[in-house]
Amino acid sequence: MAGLALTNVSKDYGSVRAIDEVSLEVRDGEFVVFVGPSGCGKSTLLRMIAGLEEITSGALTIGGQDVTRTDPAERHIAMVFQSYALYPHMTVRGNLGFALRMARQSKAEVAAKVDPVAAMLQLDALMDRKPSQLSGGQRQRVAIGRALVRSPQVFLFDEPLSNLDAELRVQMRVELAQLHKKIGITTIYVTHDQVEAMTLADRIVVLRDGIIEQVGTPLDLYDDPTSLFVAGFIGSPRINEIRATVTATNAEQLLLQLPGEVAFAYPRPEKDLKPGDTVTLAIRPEHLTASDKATPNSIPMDVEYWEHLGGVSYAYGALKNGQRMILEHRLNRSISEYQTLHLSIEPSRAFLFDAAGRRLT
Amino acid sequence: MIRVPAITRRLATAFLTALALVWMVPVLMMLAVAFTPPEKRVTGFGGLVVEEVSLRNFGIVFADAPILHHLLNSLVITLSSVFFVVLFGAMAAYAFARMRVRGKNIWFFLLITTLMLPVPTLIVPLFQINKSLGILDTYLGLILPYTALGLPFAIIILRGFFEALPRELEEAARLDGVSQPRIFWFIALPLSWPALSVVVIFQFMTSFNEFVLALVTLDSDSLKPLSLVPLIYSGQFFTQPGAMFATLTLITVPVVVFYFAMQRFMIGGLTTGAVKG
Repeated sequence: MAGLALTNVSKDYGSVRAIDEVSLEVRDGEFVVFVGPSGCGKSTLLRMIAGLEEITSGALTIGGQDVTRTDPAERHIAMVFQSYALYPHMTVRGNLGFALRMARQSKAEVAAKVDPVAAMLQLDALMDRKPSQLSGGQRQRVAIGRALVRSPQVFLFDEPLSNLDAELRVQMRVELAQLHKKIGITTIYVTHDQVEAMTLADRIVVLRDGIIEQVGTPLDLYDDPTSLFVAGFIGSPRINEIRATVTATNAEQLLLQLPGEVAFAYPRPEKDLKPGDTVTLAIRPEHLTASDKATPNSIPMDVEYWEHLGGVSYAYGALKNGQRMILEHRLNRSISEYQTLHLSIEPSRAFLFDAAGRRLT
Repeated sequence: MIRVPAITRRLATAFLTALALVWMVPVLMMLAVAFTPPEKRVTGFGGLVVEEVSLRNFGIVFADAPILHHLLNSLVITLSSVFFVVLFGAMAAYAFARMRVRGKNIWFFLLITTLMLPVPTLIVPLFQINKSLGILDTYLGLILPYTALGLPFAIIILRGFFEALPRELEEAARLDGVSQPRIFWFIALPLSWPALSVVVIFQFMTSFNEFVLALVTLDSDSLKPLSLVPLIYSGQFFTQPGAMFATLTLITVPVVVFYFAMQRFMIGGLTTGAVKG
């Protein structure tokens, strides 16, 4: 096992920069998840760590050794692909032992390493089947097993659950978490699913356009996003974004104008804001309080439809300026009868971002 | 699935059946004459009607000509060229599909151009080359040209197939510490059997049936393949059309047997790589 460090790592495809000066340290035994929208460079970064993509500039060390230019085979890493990449012409046993056989290990040595892994992943009964005779979840386990038998220092996962159906995905997610707890190998996991990221990660790395937006524990990112992008990406349903204009400032407070001519006072951030500046007030659906009657500073929302999930209900609607809003509501179901709800925002629960999407407080 | 109206389907079936029957006429004539007793004159409808079936023509052929020896010559030449075409074709196609080769597209274009040359135009140069190499009137004088002529088709078919193989399989193998040649040997090659079987069938039929180059290259009767047999014995069998057609029937048997044995692979293989599945 080993930690891993990226130092100012970049990747260029011709004149296009896919990864831009990324630096990151992954501790020994840590489970780190790379998350971000399509095309943010998360898979590219993972493939650079694997050695499947060349690193244009910067350095990569694994276990303290510089492996920037080392052949993938010598990096002591194992990777699980989105498509599983099982060898279709080999049985489960053949797939699990392939790397060992290629390293010219004896049959007994191969069996000694393959059998315990197969037992741990409950593959013993499937050893003589071909991948085409396995279910999605079983294939996934074979792919993990194939990576495990090599006793890698670092485990890489490239969207491993995205080909599974919803139920199986949840089950495999739990299995992966348990597996990591059991074997404790440093793991880097790529996904675009923020629920997977939140549930699996020790730390999440949010990527956007080839740069790291923010690194932190799942709750850090949820409770304390440094940018509107991270605030919007982490959390389901998505955070509400309300465009506002600064109308006045004083020593302690900003006075904002929210849609519907609502005046809203917010603690004054360090950055100097002038009247007329536009900002974004972001608040999570569960932090809005709704009432059927207008209260001071409440914002009216026209409800379009409700989703009742039993324990919780979601109201979807729009503000007076057309901005979409989602409200999470738990008590007093009777308010779902009203066409217009008045939303109150507790300033300490809301995040303020400047026009460029940077956090102000 | 597109639904075709029943009437269209029936018309199409009728048309294709008629076409197949017309196409079968020469084959049926060959069989009819071969199975008619030698002393009988062929009768009715260009010989298509057989009144009495006999195997005596085949007896004459086996008694007078070393058919099995010629079959062996054919097999040596054909199987060797198939082996070399598959071996070199697969390696070259893999390089075209997966490796960085300088001027790859120009090489590939040149390969395709060779497919446009009709074999007869190559006879004289090939004869000269064989002569310079001193391999006229040897098996090698046919095996090498057959291999060379078969490679472009093989490379085109196999390249398409290798390109359609999921790249992740090879990447997984690379991470498993497998070298490129072993990835080719243990991963790419075993997975490409549908395309390989097309190449094998095509090369087998081409080499087995080739006539003109064999005619100018081989002089000794003892080396000649089956395709030259009718010519060797045309004088001898001139007055015995039954024996001649029995010989022709015997020549077609190995190819037909081979084709039927392999055809299910062929139909699967021709369309592989066409659509990503």
